[in-house]
Amino acid sequence: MTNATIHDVAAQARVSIKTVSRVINNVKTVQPQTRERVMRVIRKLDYHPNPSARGLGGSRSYLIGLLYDNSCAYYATGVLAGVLETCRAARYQVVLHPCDYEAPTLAAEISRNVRQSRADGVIVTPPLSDMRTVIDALEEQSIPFVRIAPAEHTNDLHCVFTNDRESCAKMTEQLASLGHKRIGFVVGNPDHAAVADRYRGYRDGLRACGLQLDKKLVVQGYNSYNSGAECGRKLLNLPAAKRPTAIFASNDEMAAGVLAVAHGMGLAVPEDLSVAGFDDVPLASQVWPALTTIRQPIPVMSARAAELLLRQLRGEPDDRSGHIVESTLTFRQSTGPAPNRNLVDRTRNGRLAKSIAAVQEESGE
Amino acid sequence: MLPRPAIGTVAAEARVSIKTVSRVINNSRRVTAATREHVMGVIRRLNYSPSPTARRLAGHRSYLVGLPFDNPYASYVTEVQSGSLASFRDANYQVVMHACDARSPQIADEIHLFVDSVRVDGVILTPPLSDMSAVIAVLESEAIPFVRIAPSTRSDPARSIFTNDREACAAMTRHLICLGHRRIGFVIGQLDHAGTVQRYNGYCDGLETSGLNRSVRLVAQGDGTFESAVECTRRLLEKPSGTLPTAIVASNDAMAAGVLTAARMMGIAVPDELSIAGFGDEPLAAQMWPRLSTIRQPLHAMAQQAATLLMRQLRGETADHLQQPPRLIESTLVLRQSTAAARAP
Repeated sequence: MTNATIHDVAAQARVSIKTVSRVINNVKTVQPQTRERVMRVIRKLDYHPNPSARGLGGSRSYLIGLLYDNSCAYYATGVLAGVLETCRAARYQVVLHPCDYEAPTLAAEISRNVRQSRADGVIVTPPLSDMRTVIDALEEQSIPFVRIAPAEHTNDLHCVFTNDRESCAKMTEQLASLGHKRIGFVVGNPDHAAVADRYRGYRDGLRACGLQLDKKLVVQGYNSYNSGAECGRKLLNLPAAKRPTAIFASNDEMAAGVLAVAHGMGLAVPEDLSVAGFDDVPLASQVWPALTTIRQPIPVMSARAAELLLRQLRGEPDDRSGHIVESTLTFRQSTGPAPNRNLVDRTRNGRLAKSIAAVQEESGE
Repeated sequence: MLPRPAIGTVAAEARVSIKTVSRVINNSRRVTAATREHVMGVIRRLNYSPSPTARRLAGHRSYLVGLPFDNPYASYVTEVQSGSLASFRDANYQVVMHACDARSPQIADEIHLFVDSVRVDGVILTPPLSDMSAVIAVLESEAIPFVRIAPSTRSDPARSIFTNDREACAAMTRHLICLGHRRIGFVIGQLDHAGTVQRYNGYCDGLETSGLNRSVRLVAQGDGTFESAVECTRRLLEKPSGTLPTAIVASNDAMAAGVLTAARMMGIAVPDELSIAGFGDEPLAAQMWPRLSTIRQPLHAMAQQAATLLMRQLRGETADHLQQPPRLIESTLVLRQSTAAARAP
């Protein structure tokens, strides 16, 4: 931390302290040129309004920061629920630190924001939790932190994660046991390491069932609904004999995209195509048919993360157990047995059903 | 709440003047290090914290804005937080979230404790908190500036951001009537949200201006959730065919998704046999199939405006300056594939 004071800024900028204060507080009575000059000096000296003037009574602010990427605002809201739950009991409050994980100034911005808010510690969500620059910045500033779902977590005490890989292997095995031989996979955003890790689980699952990995059945998505729809189109436009009978997407939004494409092509789900997702966000049970998915216990994970952080802040020894929160398979209506390829049979049954309906209609039913 | 020790108590205990205590609190340089140490010791011992009003008068800011919320919809919370942050970012204000239960009898105390302990400079109130006089009274007594998002009355225009839920719902209803629908159902949402009543009134307005009669048999009361809408729709659609609705408007998008699911379970084709419209334009609306016709609630823009308005208050712009016509951000119709012309009878 630097020790530049408001006096230093005023002296360098050759203005009164009152003027500096007006610039900081965005008062309109300051001339634009003056404002510019003062802001330049503030940046040059790396001056920050004295935090001790903003709160009294010891070094604690009783604030916990939540660090998240702007594109993951919805995920952050889920995390927030769990964090708030824990913080409420401990009388901590949660301050938001949205950022842009692709910004070149990311590390500096995080340091500044956390310092300015005076948060006692922060919770770091993906993809930030996988970024060396972010972790370095926090360590440099001695800001206590806990990471949620980083991909590399074996030798880190301060993180909470789930068993993405194992649960994806299980889902793949389940689909195989329903008779699916060609199971498509939609890979997640490579920048989100834990999501990308789900692909490994899929391959483990195939291997366990003795199925060959077919690269044509694997497409790259970017976690969004639209990217899922795009991937769905690619997979379902394969020639009928090569087309997957089940598609497993790395998150629910992409699975919803696949589902929409299937509907648009007139494919019945799950009769013609099974679809599975990951996360179990509300969307999963609000689409038709409701999605089979893997419930990632985000509120439980984030509540656990907040507990770990509070323990750090209290200086309590770290408890090694219970940093992993298991995900569970949730079966709904979007998955079913692999379609019977005997098309003649299906057509005949279809005609039969139609003729029964026709008879009922004629009889005035 | 615990009684707060007064500054006078600190002064008496430390055997200094109130002015000196104030100088210590405000980090004035005109206090010797020894006196400062001594006073700080007393402050810590008594657990004294200066009242927020006093701090603001002294010109101290936390650069923290409180966003207490009681809203079950993640999309609502997310939009309000990202909208307000878009405004606050450049001014270096940060947002402190606080989940609370608006139905709790202690809600006013809870908000009091929250603003006091975090020392927020200002507060943004979302529904249903933005309609609660007890909460507003607390903020006023603490002299904490605040802005209300979508309050149900237009009585406080200087501190409110409005939208036109009612007019938008009337417009959607009229649109369905233009498509040839004559029996239009409505699924009501959670009743303790002011917007819910506005939306239902809008539906009634739409019918009335088109000369259609309201029918209680076409209206069902849900509770805002997807599941409740599935139930409501079953009741609405289990009727003799001559009295079935050919279109259903739901009070929010999650409920519209429930209407769609119920229709699918009953083998009713959407939009061929039933048109469905929602409210909100949450991400869900564009992620279901068929994609949902709905009303885009400009939450992001409303929150952004609310933040801008709050910062103007924080800068001390006078009430006169703030006396302007109500800040209204319009909701708009978004027409997608879930609505279509009514089938010829």
